[in-house]
Amino acid sequence: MQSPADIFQETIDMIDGKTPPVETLIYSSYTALPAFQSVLSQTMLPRRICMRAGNGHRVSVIAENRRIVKIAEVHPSGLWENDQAPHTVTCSADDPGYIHPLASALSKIAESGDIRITRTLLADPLKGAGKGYPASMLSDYLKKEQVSEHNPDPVTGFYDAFPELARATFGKQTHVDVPATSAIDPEWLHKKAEAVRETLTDRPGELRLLTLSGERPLVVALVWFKESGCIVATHDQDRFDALQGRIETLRHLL
Amino acid sequence: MSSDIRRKIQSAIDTLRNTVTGCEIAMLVDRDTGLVLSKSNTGTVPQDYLDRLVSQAQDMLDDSLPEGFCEPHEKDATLCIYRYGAKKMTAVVTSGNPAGDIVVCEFAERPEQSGILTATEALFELTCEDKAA
Repeated sequence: MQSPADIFQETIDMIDGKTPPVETLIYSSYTALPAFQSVLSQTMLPRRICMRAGNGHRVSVIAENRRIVKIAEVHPSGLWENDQAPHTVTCSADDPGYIHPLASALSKIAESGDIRITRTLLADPLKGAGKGYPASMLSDYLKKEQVSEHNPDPVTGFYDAFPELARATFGKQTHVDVPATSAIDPEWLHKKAEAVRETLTDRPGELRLLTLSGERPLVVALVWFKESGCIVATHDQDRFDALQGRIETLRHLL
Repeated sequence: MSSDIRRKIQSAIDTLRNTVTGCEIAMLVDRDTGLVLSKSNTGTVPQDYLDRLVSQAQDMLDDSLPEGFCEPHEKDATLCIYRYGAKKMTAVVTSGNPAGDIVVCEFAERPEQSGILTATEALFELTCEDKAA
């Protein structure tokens, strides 16, 4: 994090012309998305903001009042994962249907590295723009996009996160993995996984946490997505927070 | 249910909703019939929304306990099931008490497990007292 003194010095340097304006700085993969969000959140008057990678891939949006009111361009077209052309969609917080493909395109461009972000005046009057996607809304979707990229299969990701606990994966085939020191009976866990699978086959996603408090406490976490799921079980109540925290991160997939 | 016990149960339900972080709706429900015995909520909640919540809670108990999830455990243990939605989460709490009632809550944010258990324990004691009377 920059100190106030550094920020002050940068501003003075910029005014003196010693560094280029913030919009034309080159960003790495890690800093490009926060920089884009920062530029968006500082844009009050109508401006065109373009994020361009070193390989020529780019996304341009029209922003006003800290909102994306129009998507001007997505290049190449393969970056846009929607049937409707990007420049024809209406950006409105009430209809968030197009913010996911926009966040996805921005994330893919950011991965390319050598990112330049430019903010320019509009050549043409603003026409046909919606109410817009607020900067905070875009931030939420970019976070989701990054979580999805790092955890492409939520069931496997959840299962792999707890190798020391009794666990079972199920879908086409049930597999049980119980450490020798665990108090969970493998046969019991296998039966439960099979029974739960049967109740979930018609559901796209399900996240549950079950706790049984008593002399022998039991905590069972259940994750189910796209016809496959897993159960992680433990007799250790201290694991509750860890299991709950991991489940929380998967909520946005529901 | 005597009016004194009814008041105590209502007070306990209100306490649950007020003390557990993020709790927006709390209900004491007869597990078998789905009848809402007592409820506490913020703002106005339509009856059909409460009915859907109860129905969902009963499904949660049925789905989560195929062949008895708590087989190897003592009967008086408290079972708490959390179902996570994209925006809200539902918790169903039941225990092996003879009254057979369940507590159904809806949360806007992740609740503290200990807070739920403490509040529901007090509630279940009252329902047992009521049934005994």
